[in-house]
Amino acid sequence: MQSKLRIFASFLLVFSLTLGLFLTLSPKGVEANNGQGQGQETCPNTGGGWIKIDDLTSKTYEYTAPTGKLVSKVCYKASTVVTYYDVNPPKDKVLVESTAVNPGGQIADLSHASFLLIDKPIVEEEKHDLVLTSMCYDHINMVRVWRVFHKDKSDTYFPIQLGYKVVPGGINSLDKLFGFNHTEATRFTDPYLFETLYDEKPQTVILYWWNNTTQQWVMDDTKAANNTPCYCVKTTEYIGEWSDWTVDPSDESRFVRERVVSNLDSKNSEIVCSTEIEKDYEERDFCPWETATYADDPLCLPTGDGEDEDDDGDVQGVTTEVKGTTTVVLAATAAGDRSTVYLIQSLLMLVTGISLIYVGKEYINRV
Amino acid sequence: MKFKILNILVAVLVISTAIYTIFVFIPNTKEEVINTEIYAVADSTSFVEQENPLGKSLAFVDGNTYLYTFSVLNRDIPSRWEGKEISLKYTYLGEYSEDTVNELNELLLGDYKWQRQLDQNRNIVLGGPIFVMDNTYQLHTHNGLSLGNKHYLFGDLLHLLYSNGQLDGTQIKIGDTVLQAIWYKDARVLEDNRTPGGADLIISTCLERNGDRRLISGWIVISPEELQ
Repeated sequence: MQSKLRIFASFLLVFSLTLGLFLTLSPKGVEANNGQGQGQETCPNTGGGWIKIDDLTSKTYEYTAPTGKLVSKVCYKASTVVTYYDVNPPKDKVLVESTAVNPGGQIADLSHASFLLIDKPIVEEEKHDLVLTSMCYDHINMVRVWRVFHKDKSDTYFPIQLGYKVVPGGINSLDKLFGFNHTEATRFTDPYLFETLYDEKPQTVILYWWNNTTQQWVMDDTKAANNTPCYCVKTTEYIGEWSDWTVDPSDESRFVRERVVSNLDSKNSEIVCSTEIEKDYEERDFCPWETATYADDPLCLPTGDGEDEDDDGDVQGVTTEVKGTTTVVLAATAAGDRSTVYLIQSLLMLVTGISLIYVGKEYINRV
Repeated sequence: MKFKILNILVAVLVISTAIYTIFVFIPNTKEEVINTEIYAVADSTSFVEQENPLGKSLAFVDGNTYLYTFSVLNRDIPSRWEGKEISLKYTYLGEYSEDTVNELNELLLGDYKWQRQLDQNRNIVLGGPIFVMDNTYQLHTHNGLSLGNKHYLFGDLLHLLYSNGQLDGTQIKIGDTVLQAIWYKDARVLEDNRTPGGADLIISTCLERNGDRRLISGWIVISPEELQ
């Protein structure tokens, strides 16, 4: 009898342990444990981050977290069942729906619910206030250069995806910039530049940035292209070497030599802005014509058909060329020197005065 | 007898002083006023069209005299001249001929004598005769060799700029016409009277009282675009 009793007790113990283990590992059991209670357990009361709403009477309940708070976990009780679940990601508004079934097979009404609140993370909203500037046009590479910077330091420095539109075209993406902190103060030292096509026509460009939150392009600054060339704003003159003297093909009575004067961009001497040919002339000597001596000499201009002629053309210079050389005449352009006149006049007056005084004195003595 | 001789000597001295004063001192020291009222800028339709651009911007009719306002654009004028209005008066003698030098010197010793520097309002009137040779105008003007410290002569102004190394590139405005000096030459013209080329106007003035040393400068007309 005792052995039967022992067997029964052992069986009861094994059964109890098995049942306990089963209840512990079953989902309901987990939920019950999470709720730290079974049966008539309730959701956490207000405190420790929880907010408890009592006296619910419907199958659903919508809860809105206070400003600056988000709901990260929900607990509700319907019928006798306490249910927990996480809200991931945390939300400022949650809808609690009862899933518990009452003995009648109906969805049980909620009796209360608790909400675990956490602080709402402070997320800086992406916003940009950008300044677009038309820098110049590069007629060699046929591009216009534009510059972008933040208007001021109050602007946010998110990684920024820039875009531009050449009116009336579509939006073109530019670089996605990380650490784009170009402000007006640093626009010269660390400029962000991009290029558009230069077609010698007026151009208007709209700058955009991509809003990751709204997933839309946001229109920012709009500017018309300026007419400042990138090169040759300032030039440096480069004067080449003179060529050798040769007889001027257009006028055999003179020699000509040439040199190239180039205007190079002051910043980049490889860019030639303009060139011009500078010519220098010199009269050719008129030589007595001696066939044997000068027939093959290109530097000597014969004055006739082998006959000597008087050389009378060099006194007045070149007289037929507009604005050419000329001669000046000797004109009497010297002003007179008055100092000698003043000196002589002063001496004459002095001597005359002294003489008159002396004669007057003699005359008085005689009388 | 001695007293008689003394009287004669004194009389001679008085008469000599009077003669010198009347015929030398007064003519040389009297400031003569330039008559500026009878001259006016000729109507542009009467200009003689020349290839020289100066002929298109200033009036040049043979024998006529013209008066234009004058200013120096990019150089300082002599301090003594400051506060006075400046004009340029010239008489155009036409194309150079054998008689031109005589006409030139007559005018320089007559209407443009060096004593005539100011008008009745004591404003400065620069000037001299102009003729054209080889399609280049030549203005001959007096220099008092005082660098503008005593005289109000065009030559003094040019001489001052030359002395300061500023003559090249000097811009002057005659009426509405701007001229710029592109070259200058200090030459003894009896030995070398040739000029460099390229000038629309040549201005010649003396650099010594008794000699042939002249300061010759070449000027071109520049447009408002070139001026900027």
